[in-house]
Amino acid sequence: MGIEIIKDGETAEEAVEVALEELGVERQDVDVEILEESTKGFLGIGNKSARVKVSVRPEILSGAPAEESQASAGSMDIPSTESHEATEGEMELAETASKFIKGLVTKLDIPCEVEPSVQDGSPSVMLDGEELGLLIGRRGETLQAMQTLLSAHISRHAGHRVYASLDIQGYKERKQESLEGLAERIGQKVASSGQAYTMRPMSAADRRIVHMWIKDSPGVSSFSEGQDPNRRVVIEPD
Amino acid sequence: MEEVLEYVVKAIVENPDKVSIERVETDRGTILELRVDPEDLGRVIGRQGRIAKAIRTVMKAAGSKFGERAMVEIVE
Repeated sequence: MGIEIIKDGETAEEAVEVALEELGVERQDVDVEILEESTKGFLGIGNKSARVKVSVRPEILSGAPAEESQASAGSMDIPSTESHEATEGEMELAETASKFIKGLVTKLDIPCEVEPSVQDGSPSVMLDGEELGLLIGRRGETLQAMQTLLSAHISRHAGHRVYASLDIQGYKERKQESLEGLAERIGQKVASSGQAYTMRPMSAADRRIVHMWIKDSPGVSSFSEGQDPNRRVVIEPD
Repeated sequence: MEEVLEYVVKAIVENPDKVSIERVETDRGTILELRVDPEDLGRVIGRQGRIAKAIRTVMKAAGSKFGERAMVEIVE
């Protein structure tokens, strides 16, 4: 089963960005079909919003690239530029990203090791040190917030939209494993009971992990419902 | 606290010279009033308030580190 969503926005580009955020994937991971172009009316009359269909590419859903980036994230000791050779520009953005995070943890008086790298063309920063719990926050909210600010900083620096990623040594990996375990347990329960189950609200990235797991689970499927920040995954029997 | 806020905000605006932060003590607690160039207002708020929310979340972490609570208010 493919994952695709339809989104409206003031412009097609804006609708795509919202969709990417929701799916927790990057631009290169999806195919975009413009269903309706936006049109500008006169003095705001007759404005029409754009509608796009964003589908996650099958090779992304098969999990291969995700596994690759997870593996490289787990074994990172030195600034790495593995997989697709990072260009100088990409490395420069990663360095800028690293500098921003280093400065932030210094202001927070939390000494950390900060390692820049380029993962699939995007700047990525890995943090390691003490008091990491404080930087992760409840359900990862502080980590997520720092990543949002990091992307804003890098985008301003680059002059175009850049998604930067920030991870704390092993955190996202552990979280992924625990979410997969949860998805597996609920999936089995739903398959055996025949009763759909609504999960707690989760971020787009977390929902994606659950969807990916359920996609490969026999007898069940999943979809999301509701609006962020209360958007939830529903797992239902086939 | 102010230093953390100033650092984060200056990193995401086009006009860092126009960033100012004023600490105001009220009976509701400490408020950090943030002012930026009008042109940068959108950058510190973000689509659907995402950036403003991220700033507040990071400031909450800063607050627990430094043992104080301060609310961030963006002043237009």
